[in-house]
Order: sequence, then structure tokens, then C-alpha cells
Amino acid sequence: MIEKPYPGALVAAGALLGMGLGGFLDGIVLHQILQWHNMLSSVVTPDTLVRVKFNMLFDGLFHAMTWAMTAVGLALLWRASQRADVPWTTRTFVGSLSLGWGLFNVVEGLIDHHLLGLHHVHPGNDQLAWDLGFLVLGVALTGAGLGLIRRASVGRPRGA
Amino acid sequence: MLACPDCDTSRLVRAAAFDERFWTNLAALALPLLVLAVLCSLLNRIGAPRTPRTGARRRDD
Repeated sequence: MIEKPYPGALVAAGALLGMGLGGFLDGIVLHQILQWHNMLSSVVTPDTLVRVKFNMLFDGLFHAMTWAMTAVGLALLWRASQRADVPWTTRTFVGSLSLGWGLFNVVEGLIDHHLLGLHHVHPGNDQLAWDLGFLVLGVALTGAGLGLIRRASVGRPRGA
Repeated sequence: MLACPDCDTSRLVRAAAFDERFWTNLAALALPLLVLAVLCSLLNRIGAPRTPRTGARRRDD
């Protein structure tokens, strides 16, 4: 008997890993290297050492949470690897990583930048343009991820 | 003022961060991640077997 494929196990794991890796890239490149996008920079402007360290602390708490998401994603990936009904395809996995990273940008951007106004990608006169660019990147990654997952919908279950 | 583990700067940072707004700030930071967790739980249901624990591993047992 042929089992019904269960792609959700791999998609959820890949998406969580994509969210976590997207969060790390955001933290390393935007927060630490470029010194932009600090989590509470619209609440406490990072213009003195104390205020920079205040933002750094909340950046760290946020990235600790993204680390937890990555760890859960790894656990889900391990669990998916134990199942025979998961269509184990590179397209599904890469698409899920892209989907996760894209969703991270879209959800974080909409909530933190536009809804709560906690911070902006690059505060200043052009902050709206930077925020919209962040969202556009997120939508593009989400679309690319969904496209890859859809193309891999006829996958080969492990052991089939 | 220098950055250090326990000096005036650090004490000011701790006082500012761990005040009465700490949990509000933390909740605000966690909100997008909670939304993402809900989205992942929905993704996990794509093609999920109707009855829990009817995966192939159990069938092989």
C-alpha cells in the first residue's frame, strides 16, 4: 500500500530553520556589522553608550528566541527524518528554508516596523523605503519558497 | 565612561532595561516570533495523517 505523503513535517522543520537562520543573518549583518535595526531603537534611540547597550540587550533577547526557533526546527527535522512518508526532496527543503526566511521578514517587518513601531531597518529620512524593501525581500523569498515546494509536490517518499 | 561588566554604565543599562516596562518590551519582541510559531504549526499540518501516530514507523513495528 502506498502511503499518502506528508510534506508538512519537512516544510515546518525547514521553515523554522529558515526563520532562525534569517534571524541570525539579520542580527549579524544588520544589527552588529551595520549597527542598524536595533530592536527597540524607536523606543530608546541608540545615541549614547548606555542606550546602545540597552538596545544590545534586547537584541540579544530577540536573537536568543530565534536560537530557540532554530533548535526546535532542528528537532522537527530529526523527527521528519524518522518517518517514511515524508517526501525528502531538496526542492522542498530549500523551498521551506526560503519560505521561513521570507515569513520572518514579512511578519517581523509588519509587526515591529509598521504595527508596533519598535524600530526601523535604517532609521532616518528614508526609513519607510528601507522598511518596504525589507518587506519586498520577504515577499520575494516567501514566493520563491512556495514555488519550490509546489514544484516538488510529487516527491519521492523515503524508502519508496 | 567605559563599558564594563559592573560599572556605572552597566548599572545604568540594567536599571533602564529591567524596569517596569521590561515584560512589555519582551512581549513586544516575542510577538512576531509567536505568530511565526503559529504559522509553522499550520505548515506542519500539510498532508498530515488524519489520525495521530499512524506514521510508517508505527506501521513497520
